[in-house]
Amino acid sequence: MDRLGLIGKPSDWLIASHYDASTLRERMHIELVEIPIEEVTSLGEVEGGEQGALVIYERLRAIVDQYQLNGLTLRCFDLLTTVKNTGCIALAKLNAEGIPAACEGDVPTLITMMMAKNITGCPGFQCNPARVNTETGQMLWAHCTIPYNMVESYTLDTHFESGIGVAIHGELPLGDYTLVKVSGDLSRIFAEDVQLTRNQYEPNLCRTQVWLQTKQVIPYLLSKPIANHHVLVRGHHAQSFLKYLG
Amino acid sequence: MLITLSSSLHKEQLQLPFELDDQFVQDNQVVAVLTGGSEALFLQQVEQGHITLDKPIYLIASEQSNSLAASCEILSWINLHHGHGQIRTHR
Repeated sequence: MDRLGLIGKPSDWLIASHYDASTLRERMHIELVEIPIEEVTSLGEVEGGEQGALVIYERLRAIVDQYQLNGLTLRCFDLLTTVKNTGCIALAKLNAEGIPAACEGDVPTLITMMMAKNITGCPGFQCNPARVNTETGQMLWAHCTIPYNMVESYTLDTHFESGIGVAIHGELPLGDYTLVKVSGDLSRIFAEDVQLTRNQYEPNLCRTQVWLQTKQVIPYLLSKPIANHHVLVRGHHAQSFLKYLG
Repeated sequence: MLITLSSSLHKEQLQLPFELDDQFVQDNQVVAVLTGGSEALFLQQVEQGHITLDKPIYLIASEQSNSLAASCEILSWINLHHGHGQIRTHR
């Protein structure tokens, strides 16, 4: 049984990212462990740069050990007003260490990241759709953290929405990837093999920004998306994901 | 009917991504989702009766400020509640 920590409740804006704990237990042998956000916010205000971000990492690492977690999702925006820094570096490090770690208390995305680890042995990049080109099939996806072991290089920046703390602008290798998402009750899954064609770095977007060449993603996203966040995984594995839930 | 949503999460300068046809706005439920974090505001509009799930809902998304991301979360909610909608990113 995998133990996944839900540190704080899902963010208020995740209105379609619900989950069914009993289905997750029965079909994926996942136990969700609810952990109060105060276990992190009790740190109080930390230093506002990388040093403070590493304090958050150490606290999350201790929570992983204390609760014997195999993965976690963090209601990270609560840190902005309490700890006055971000969870971006902490999640990047945990993911690189083999602990799937998702932002915003998003359980379906964490489940998708666990699937990615089980199927490919690799971490996944939790990302938002940011732009679409319906004529070419090109799409821009972005987020403020990314597993350190998915990038060729990175620089540190502030977190997009808040302008504070530390976020990561990563540059990913070009080539084959899979874009995937499963719903929190496991009733739906979307997976498509895509190409990462370009990295970019613009303001007014989350800091890691990648362009994907897609086929079916855009019509799916503009009509029947499985919520907002999706997961990008290195390599072409769409068929393996689609078979995973039987 | 045009409803514009934006949240306090974003401080950027905001505007509609493209000009909307007056007749289209008159005939339909059109929601411009200008920023991320607008999702709960959409639910408020539904609860207050300003938006109904009985008719299609057109979500207008821009290329900035996590507008498309929020639109996807809202559209997913509409579909889960047996409504109909679509996201439009250009005229």
